[in-house]
Amino acid sequence: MKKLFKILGITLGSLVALVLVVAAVAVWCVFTPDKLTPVVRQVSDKFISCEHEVGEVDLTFFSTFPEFALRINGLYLINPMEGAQSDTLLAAPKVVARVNPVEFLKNNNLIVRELSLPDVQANIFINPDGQTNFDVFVTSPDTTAEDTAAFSLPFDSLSVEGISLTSPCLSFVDKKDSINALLLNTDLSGSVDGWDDVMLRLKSESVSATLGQTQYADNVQLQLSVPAEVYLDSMHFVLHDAELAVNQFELGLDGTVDLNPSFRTDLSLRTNDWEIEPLLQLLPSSFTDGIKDLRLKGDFQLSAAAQLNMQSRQSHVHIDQLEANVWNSAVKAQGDIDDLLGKMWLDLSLNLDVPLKDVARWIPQNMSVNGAVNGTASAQIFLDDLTAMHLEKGKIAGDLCLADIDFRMDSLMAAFDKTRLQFSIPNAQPSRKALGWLAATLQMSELTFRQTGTVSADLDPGTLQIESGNILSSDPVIYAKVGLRSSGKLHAEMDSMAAVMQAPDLNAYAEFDTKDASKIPVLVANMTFDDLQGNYTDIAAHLRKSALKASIVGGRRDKSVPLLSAQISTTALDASMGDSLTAKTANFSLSAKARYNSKADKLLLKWNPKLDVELKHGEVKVPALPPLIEIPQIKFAYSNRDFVIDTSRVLLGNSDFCLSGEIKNIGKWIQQKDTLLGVLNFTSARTDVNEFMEWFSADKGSEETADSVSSASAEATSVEDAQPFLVPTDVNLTLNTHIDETIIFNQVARNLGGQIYIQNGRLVLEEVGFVCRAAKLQLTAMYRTPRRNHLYLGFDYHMLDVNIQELVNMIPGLTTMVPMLDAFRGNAEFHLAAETYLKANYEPKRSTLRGACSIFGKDLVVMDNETFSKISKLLMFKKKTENLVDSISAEMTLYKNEINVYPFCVSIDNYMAALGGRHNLDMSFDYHINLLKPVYLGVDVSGTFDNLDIKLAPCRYAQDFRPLFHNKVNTQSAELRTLIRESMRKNVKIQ
Amino acid sequence: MKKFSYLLVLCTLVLLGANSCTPKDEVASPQPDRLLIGTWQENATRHFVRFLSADEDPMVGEYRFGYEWDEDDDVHPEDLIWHGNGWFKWKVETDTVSHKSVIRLTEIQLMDNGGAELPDTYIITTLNSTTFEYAPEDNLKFTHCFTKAD
Repeated sequence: MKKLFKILGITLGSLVALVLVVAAVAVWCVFTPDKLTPVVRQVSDKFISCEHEVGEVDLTFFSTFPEFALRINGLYLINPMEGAQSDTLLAAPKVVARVNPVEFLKNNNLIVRELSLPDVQANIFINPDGQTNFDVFVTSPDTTAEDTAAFSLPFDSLSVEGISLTSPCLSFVDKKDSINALLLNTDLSGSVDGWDDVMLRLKSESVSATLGQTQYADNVQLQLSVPAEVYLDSMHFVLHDAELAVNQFELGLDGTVDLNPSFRTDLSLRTNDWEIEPLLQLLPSSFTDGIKDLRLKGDFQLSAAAQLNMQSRQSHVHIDQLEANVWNSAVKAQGDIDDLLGKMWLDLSLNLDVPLKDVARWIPQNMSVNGAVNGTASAQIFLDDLTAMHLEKGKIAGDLCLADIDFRMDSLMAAFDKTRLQFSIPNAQPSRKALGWLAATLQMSELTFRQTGTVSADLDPGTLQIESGNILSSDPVIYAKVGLRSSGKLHAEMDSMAAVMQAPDLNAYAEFDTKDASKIPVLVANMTFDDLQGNYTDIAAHLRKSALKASIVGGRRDKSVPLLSAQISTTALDASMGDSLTAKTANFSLSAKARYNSKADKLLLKWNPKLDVELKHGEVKVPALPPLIEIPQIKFAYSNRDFVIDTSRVLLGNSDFCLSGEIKNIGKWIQQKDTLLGVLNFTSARTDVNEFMEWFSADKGSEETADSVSSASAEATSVEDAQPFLVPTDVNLTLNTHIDETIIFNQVARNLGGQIYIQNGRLVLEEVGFVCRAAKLQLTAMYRTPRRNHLYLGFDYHMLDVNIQELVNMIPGLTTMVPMLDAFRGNAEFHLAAETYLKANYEPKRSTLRGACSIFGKDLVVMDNETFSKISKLLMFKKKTENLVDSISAEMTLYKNEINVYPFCVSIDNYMAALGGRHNLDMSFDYHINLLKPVYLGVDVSGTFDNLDIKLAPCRYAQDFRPLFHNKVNTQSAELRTLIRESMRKNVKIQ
Repeated sequence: MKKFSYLLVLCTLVLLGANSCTPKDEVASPQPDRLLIGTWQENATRHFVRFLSADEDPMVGEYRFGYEWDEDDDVHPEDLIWHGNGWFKWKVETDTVSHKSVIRLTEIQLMDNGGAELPDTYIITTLNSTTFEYAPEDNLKFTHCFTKAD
């Protein structure tokens, strides 16, 4: 450029000098063309080094005084160079100039009134070596050698009032810098009034220019109007309201342009409305390649100030106002752009009115957004980062109004009506490291959220605060934190979970993999709400006024296995778990953890729950138990490993009890891999044992197989309908009891206490005592169930203060074992150690009856009147004698059908008798009564009470007979109790 | 003559005294405890009794062991617990009562929970390789009849 101006300046000066020469010659000669022309030619030969042709020269002076007017009819400069676009450097059919020689000669001021070159063709060429074809004027050796010397003109001032040049074709080719320029039909005019008042106008119908491989102009219309100050010595130009128009694009410029030592500008510019599409077509493809697929349509208008320094590569543009309408969007921008020639740093404030379809091309292909956005935004970011959507590398913020938003990404969908969105990227204060990309607050009317087949949520008006990780990155995992507050309802569903929440206040953090549906999403949530109704598979719950903390994460080793934890406190809860459980409670708090095992079939094994529960005023219904379980209070901790009851009070059927204790191995017991272990403490005001036995019976005997169960059922006749209680073999439970009132069979027992064991298939009551109408009792007993129809019962039974009638009523079948009891009335003391096997209907197998028994009675009423009458007649009792026995002390052994009564003494009236014999269970008997006082004689009494056979017999007992008390019962009792405990240590394998 | 008379009376007494007291129903040789060993079934029932030898179950003192079961009561040998309910200890003694030889069978019934023993004594009235009859010592009217089952 510098060289061009220099060359132009030299050319212009040379022309002017030539004019002066011509004028001088014209002064001293006759101003005829014939005279002038040869002279001019001679002079031009001296000044112009290349081939040239000067046409007729016509000089006027007096008509144009004080100015000369010179007309040259043809000026041609021909300077062939290899590679040049033409051998003709300049072809000017006419050159007209009017100058004031007097001013020049007198004051060295060059005043050119007119310089006109119509129809000029010029072909300027610079070869690859930098040699030019327009360096054709002869200059002094000094100026020629120093090409870089500062340019100076041979006059003090220059004033060119009118320059006009028209040209059909101006060509400039610079092989060295790969510049090509072609101007067709160009009209150039200007004026110079001192270098501080330069005016240049250029109009060209067709301008084409390339630089290197880039075509910067292709047949464009160019108009230029440049009022300027020109300082050629420093190559400093000042533009005043310059106007540039390329085709329809107008640009106004004000400012400075410097060319020395490098290109610098400080300009303010303003445009008219520029249409984007034709503008992009005008720009070189290298500028538009990045956005060629955008198919931008619209227009914009710009007012800005720009500073550019090509040497330091610094650039700055201040945008006063940029108004753009692109597609259907309207954007107004203000701000600054730095490093225009490099990465282009944007610091912009925007007013937006954007339908979101317009920005779809900048979002990932798996996302789509519909709706409209308007509001303000700001951005401080590099353009590359913006176009590549690396938003986190800058700062983006906005306060927008969203309307009719429909957002979709892969399987995600979110829609909301009118919403105010305030956001910032990045998140200045992330609550977690992964949430550093976005912080946003939405004040919305309604929200709908879906993840196809997995999650859905609908929210009434509320406020939503969001933090998220980079959703525009290639990472398939989405990190998000949501804070939600609404006075309305939230309805959410995920997989087979659903919940409706009233007035939620929620904070939740989530991670989920949009590509891998098998991974369990991470969800950590805290919430409070007025009301919640939820369900998960077959679990349903309804809570009121509650607080909840919950989390779902994938397992460490297997991400597809969900780990759940929850803490709930509520004022009221209704819950159900399939058909397994229903529950209802007032105040309730729960801490729960669960690990889902899809391979398990039982509910507890499937979920592996760990619970800490405290509730008041609860009700529970389970299928295994017919009645409703009422729980006034309970506090317990449960896992499949152990179940610890701190305190509980339960009302079940006719019973109430308080239960505490611990049960272990629940999970393994359900899997039939281990024994259920436990120690429980049971206290009750009232317990109905008959109900418990009915509920908790096992399905088969301890030594039965499934086949033997079915065959036994098929073969059974009288016992076929019986369903005896079968003791489970895989249970080892101890129950310490105290029951104020117990209902068992048809009796009511009071103050029952003791230990009850279930162990190794045996049910043992150890030293369980109680008081009932019949007596004061202490019982140690064992019940085991080898087979359904072969049940074992052994017991050690002590009764004090016995009412015999009540005793017989209390123990059905006792008269079967001790038939003669039915003949006594009154109070007695009774000790019994016995065992037998039972049928399924609890009928004794008489062949297995074994036992020992002792009775001590005082003031008993014996037998019935008819029987006693027979004996009294025989023994001649006094008539007034009642059938009263002063005392009786007897011991018996029981073997099968037979009770062997050891001889004992009876005292009635004046008589003392020894009595011994056998009493059969069919109520027949064979006794020997040996009268000791007042006479010594013997009687055999046999038969039945209905068919008595009494006859005298030899005495069997000595007159001083006193029975030996073998103390069998005491011995047996102690041994029985010891051996019962020892029998529990036997190992029974669980089958 | 007087001497001959005394001698005749003496011989008569000797003859009378030398007569066997074997009851009408004889207990045949060999020894009765050996004859008892085995399984017997009570006539017209499914009540079985098995007397074990010392080889089958070691003796305790002078007692051997045996067990019984009643299939009419749905009790079978596999239901019995060793030396428990259904088991008994037994011994056989031969006594002379009123010049008569009496075979006394003593059985001590055992219980599942051990320790308790219920003794009883019987008089064996018939015992051979196929038949076994006995009655309680204090009530000989009630006789139990068994037939050898193995």
